[in-house]
This record gives sequence, C-alpha cells and structure tokens, in this order.
Amino acid sequence: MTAIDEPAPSDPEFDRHLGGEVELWFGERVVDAATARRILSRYRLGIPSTIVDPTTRGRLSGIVGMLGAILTGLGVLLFVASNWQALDRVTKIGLLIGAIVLAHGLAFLARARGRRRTSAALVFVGTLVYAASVYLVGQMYHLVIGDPLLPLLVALGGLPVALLATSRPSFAVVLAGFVLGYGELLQRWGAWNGPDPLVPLAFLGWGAATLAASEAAEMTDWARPFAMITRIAGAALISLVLSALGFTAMWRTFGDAAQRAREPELAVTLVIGLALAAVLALVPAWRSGWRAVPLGGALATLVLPGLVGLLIGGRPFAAAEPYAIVANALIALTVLWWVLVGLATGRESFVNLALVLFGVTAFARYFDFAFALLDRSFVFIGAGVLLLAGGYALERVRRRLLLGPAGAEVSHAG
Amino acid sequence: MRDRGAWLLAIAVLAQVLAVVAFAGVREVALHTGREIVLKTIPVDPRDLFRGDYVVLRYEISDLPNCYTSGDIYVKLRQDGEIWRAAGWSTDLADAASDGSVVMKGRITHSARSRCEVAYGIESYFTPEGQGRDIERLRGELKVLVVVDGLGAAAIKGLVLP
Repeated sequence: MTAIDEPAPSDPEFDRHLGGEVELWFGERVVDAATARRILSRYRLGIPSTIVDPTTRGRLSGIVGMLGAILTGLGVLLFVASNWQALDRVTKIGLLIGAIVLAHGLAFLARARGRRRTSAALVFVGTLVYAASVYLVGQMYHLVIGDPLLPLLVALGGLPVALLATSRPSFAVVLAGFVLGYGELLQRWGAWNGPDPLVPLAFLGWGAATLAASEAAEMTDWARPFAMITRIAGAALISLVLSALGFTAMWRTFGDAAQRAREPELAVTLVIGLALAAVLALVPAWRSGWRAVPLGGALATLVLPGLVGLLIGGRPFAAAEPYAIVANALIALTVLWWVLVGLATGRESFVNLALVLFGVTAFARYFDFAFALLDRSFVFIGAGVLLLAGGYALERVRRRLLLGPAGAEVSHAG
Repeated sequence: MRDRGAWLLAIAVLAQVLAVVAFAGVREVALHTGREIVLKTIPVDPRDLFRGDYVVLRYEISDLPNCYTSGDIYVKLRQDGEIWRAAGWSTDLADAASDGSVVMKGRITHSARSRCEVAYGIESYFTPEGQGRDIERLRGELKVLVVVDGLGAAAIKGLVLP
C-alpha cells in the first residue's frame, strides 16, 4: 500500500498514457490547471507548457496592457503639459474634448467586444479627464480655485455617465464633486466673520440624507450598485462633522448662532437636507412594514442632527468642557448605532465605518484636551488602552459578521 | 434595450463635451464683449501671494470703507486716470448702475468696523510655469486688465506690467 503523499511507482507505459490523458482532461476542462499539475507531479511526469491557468494568463496580459496604457497616457500627458502654455485656448479646448471623447469611445468599443473590466476602467478615465478638463478650463480663464462652479460642474456632468455606465469609481468622483461644491457654497453663504454653526449642521443633514439614500438604493435594482459607495460617503460626512464638533475649540468659535448674518440659501439647503434625510430614512422603514431595524435606523438618522443642532445652535452649556463631553457622547452613540445596524443587517461596512469613526475620534481627543487633564504618561497609556480595547471590540464584531451566516454585504457589493 | 442604453450613454458623454464648451464659451463671450477696465493691485502677504503656478491678487477695490452690509454687493467704479476705483456700492444692481456707472459684482468675505473685504472672483492669476516669482516681485505696482459684463461679472483678461 502506498501513502497518498508518496510518489507512485514508475511504469513508462502507464506514465505516457497518463500524461496524454491528463492533457486531454485539461483540454476538455474535466480538470483545471492546478489539478492537472498535481496529478502529473505525483507521478513525477513533466508538465507540458499547454497546461496554464487561463485566469493567470488573462491577469498577466491585463497587467501588461494596463502598464502599457499608463505609460502611453503618461507620455501623452507629459507632452501636452510641457507644451500647454504655448497652445492657444481653442487648441486647448479641442485637446480636452478629444481626450473625453477618446476615453469614452474606447470604453464603448471595449464594452462592445465584451471586455467589461477594460471598459469600466476607461469610463473612469473618461470621468477623470472630464473633471480635469473642467478645472483646466477654469484655470485658462483664471477662475478662483475655490469657485463652487468647478466641482459642481464635475458632479453634474459626471452623474449621468456614472449612472448609465454603472461606474462606481466615477460615482465616487461625482459625490466628491457635490461635497466639495456644497462646502464651498456653504462657506460663501455663512462664513462671514467666523464659522457659523449652521455650516456643520448642514453638512450633517446632507450626510444623514446620503446615508439614508444608501438604504433606499438597496431597494432598487438600478441603484443597488451605488449603495455601498453612497453609504461610505454619507458615513464619512457624518464622521467628519462629528469629529470636528468634538473639539472644545469649536464651542468657542461658534458664538451666538441666532445673531449671525448669513445668506438665506444656507438655511434653505439645511432644511432641504434634513427633509430629504427624513424622507429617505422613513421610506425603507415604511416599506419594511415598520420593522425594528429600519425604523431604528430612520429614527437615529433624524435624532442625530436634531441633537447636534441643539448642542451647537442652542448652546445649552456655559462652558466648553460639558459641551465636549456631550459631543463625544454623541460620537459614541453614533459608533454604537452603526455597530448595531451592522450586526442586525449583516453589513460589515457599517462596523468598519464605526471602527474608523472610533479611531479618528480617539486620536482627535488625544490631541484635544487630554494633555490638559492628565499627566502625559497616563495620557499615552490611556489613549493606547482605549484604542486597543475599542479596536479589539470592534474587530470581534467585524469577524463575527464575516463568519456569520449573513453574507448580504458581499452580494450587495458585487 | 441595450441600444437604448448605449444611445443614452452617448448623449451623456455629449453633455460632458457641451458642458466644457459652454463653460469656456460663456467666458470667451464675456472677454470679447465686456467693458475693459484697469484695476490696481495692492500688496498681499507674501506667504500667500504665490502658490504653485498662480498668483493671489488683491485689489484697491477689495477693501471697501463705509460698508455696512453682507452677502453680495454691487460696487460702482469710476475712472481715475488709467485706474478704476470704487465710488460707492449697493446691494441692488439696477440701483448701482442707475447713473451709468460701471458696476462690478462682489461678495463680502469679511466685515469689521464699517469696512468690508470684497471678493470679485478675480483673485487668482495662473501664470506660465516659472513666471510666478517674477510677477510676485512686482506686487504693488501690478495692474490687471479686467472685463466686466452688464450683470457686473468680472473676468481677468491679462496683466498690465509696469
């Protein structure tokens, strides 16, 4: 009797026959390349060059092709950039338009030939070229860098292409454009003589609306591919605002919100953002028959901006420290909210977002006021223990989700 | 259905092309049809003046005295020799332009003690690579050729070097 890992005894006629059979099986796809190699190795037979994993071959040619595309693109970019100033405006615009049409045209051709990955990459390149074109035209006419028209034009022009081509990276560029543009507009509408508390509140409202939109997107076929990226964008906005509000310095800069001069557009967009968040959060709860998890998510989406509004607009505290404690308690509640939603729905991304918010907040608090309250060595130890404990707890939840039966996240992400 | 999707995508790409053309076209029309005026720049904090390949500009008319408002503002300009200077302001375009003055639209970015800091959207000038430092040395003597359209929107046409 021969053990399974021992080499089989040699028989030249059997070996020749087996070698031919294995090659035939591989050709007929009865066995894959790895199995064919293992069988041939077990009998110490040579491996023919025809037995190659087709996915590896495809990946290699893909990498070589991608490198070629990058080098060619880089060369063209360098050539155009070094001669850019010497070109007249019409030629510049012609080149930019040509680049947009070329990228999308190649994407269309690749799609027609069934090369979906190449097509998706080229759609993204087309979106980036379009975004660069908008900014380069702005530069040609000396527009101020912070002009909100630039990112909003990128977002509005990129949105139809991202949706129709189901391009998630392009959609991410669109979302970034909207956030940047809205941020610039908010600065214009309410930034006279110092920061306005309604600015972070407006961002929070739109962050909540974006997060709620990701839940609504899960319910429709055409929008589902964008649900994950929308969720990340919404959670990132909320995290950014909450992390900033957790600083004691923020409380000092806001002053009296009611007395501040501001454009009416600021309040209008704030109300629209909050109303949108309410509708987008309540629709999935209503369609689920008011089940506990969607309803809880909807209530949390509505309650969080309300509490933050009270905290920074109402200014219930006369000192910075109690404000900071309550602001950080709100962050902790948000972390808890996302972990609970992640556990209840089996969506790992919510736990990952909670992990990021927790980590960012722990670092922010460390640099904020811990130095003033404790001896430095205790600060280091405390911050380290806090990060380790929080990170460990969240990682355990994440692993439980990964190992658990709910695999909805993976299917949604696809 | 697939053909319809391809057509819609082609229309979306065409919309991107048209957006770029329209964006440039509007500014090109303003440069060719707007009223030309010359504005004098004033020194800016040198740490902020030159950033990469563009110059941060600040004008005499960026600092408005006797200003008690906020938000958008229409500044009346009057010619003083070669240079155009601020002669008044209003929050209403028709009011500012009622006496035939050249009017430039701005946005108040800061106000304190009855003075307003106004931005007109012409505070950046992109220079050819390597020329930013040369322009930086001219701060205070630099004049800018600006065009203003009928609605008060301004655009830089070029620099007037001493």
